[in-house]
Amino acid sequence: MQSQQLQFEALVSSYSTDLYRYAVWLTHSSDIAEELVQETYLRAWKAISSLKDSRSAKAWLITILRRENARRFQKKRAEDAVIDNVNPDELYEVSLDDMAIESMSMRQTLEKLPDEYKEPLLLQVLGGYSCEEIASIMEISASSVMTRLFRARQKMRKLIETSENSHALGSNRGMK
Amino acid sequence: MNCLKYRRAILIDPNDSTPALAEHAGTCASCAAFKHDQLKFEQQLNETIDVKIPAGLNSRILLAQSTGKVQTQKRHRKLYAVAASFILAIGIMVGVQLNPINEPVGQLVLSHVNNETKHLHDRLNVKQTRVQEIFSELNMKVSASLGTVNFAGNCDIRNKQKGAHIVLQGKNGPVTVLIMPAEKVTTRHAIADNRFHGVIIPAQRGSFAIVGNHNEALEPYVTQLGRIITM
Repeated sequence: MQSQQLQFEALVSSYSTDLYRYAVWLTHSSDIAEELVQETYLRAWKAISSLKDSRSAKAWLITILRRENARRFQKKRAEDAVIDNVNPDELYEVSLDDMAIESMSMRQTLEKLPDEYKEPLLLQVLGGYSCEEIASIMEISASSVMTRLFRARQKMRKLIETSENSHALGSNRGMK
Repeated sequence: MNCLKYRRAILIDPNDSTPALAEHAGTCASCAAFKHDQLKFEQQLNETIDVKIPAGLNSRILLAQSTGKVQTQKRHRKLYAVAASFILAIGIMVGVQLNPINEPVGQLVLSHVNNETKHLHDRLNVKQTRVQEIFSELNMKVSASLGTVNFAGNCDIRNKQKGAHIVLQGKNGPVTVLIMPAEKVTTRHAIADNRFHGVIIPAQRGSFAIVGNHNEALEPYVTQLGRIITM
């Protein structure tokens, strides 16, 4: 029991921030994200004896979190629950220097990506997972993951280029 | 490898460093520039994805583990505020005061530490002989030094049940140890509020609690105290 408790506390201190970041992007709400992370750890605690290999702990937690999120989504739909209107800008540190403005446009672009593209991208960038690991977490083939990652980045680049071109056109209009 | 395959591979994983990719980039300036652009894009993406981590997240996860319930945040604060006002109004109307007898031990510990924060600033460098006296008043023993003791005294834990209140010098601030001979717990509990996190450890006689700032690692104290205190 004591060793399981220590194992659990190590899982919390090692992975809670990564899970939280991932959850914020999944739920678009810092409050719901935290509840989701807590739910994930509650489930993980109940099933901790099934975690045999500590190297797979992070992927195991991410899988639990995704399932909890799917469950939450189903419940929300069933109950037609009302969730706060969240201003996404409240979730992030925003300072209005050039870098932050670039980040904002990058964030809006990321938000525009369909979930099927956004999720593997987040798992790769946030979680540092390989295509095979993402495939296992998302229960799809590795080649599908590669296609989705390729399309995700391609779409983001296009969206950003389009946005930059329209800004440039807009600013040129005012020039003599 | 041709340019199309190279760019596809870079868009799948910009950090892919397989030799075939490196070789192509070495001979194709346009693809090397493409990778350079993509790495810049990845840096921005990393900055975008990063979000603020709420203070005390780990403590609330451990608290949820010990209570079996998710600790909800500000989504429900308005509701709590209304409920709290309602309960307070009823309490005032019927002249009822909250009865501390049934207060859970976790809340008791956190209230005790929050009510005695003045001791967190004490720097009394209490001698080991005095620490031993405090333990012997509870018919307990401490077999070795606790380290730097900034405060130590006997106190009422609840309902005139005696205990000991000790403040140690932690790595990141004061660490409070409450010795509670009359507070039986069956398993270890994690506790937390906005300011502190802690742990309650069952002992042969009652329990003891260790409480520190959120950035203080408590496990070394659990091990040390478990080894040298006889309760």
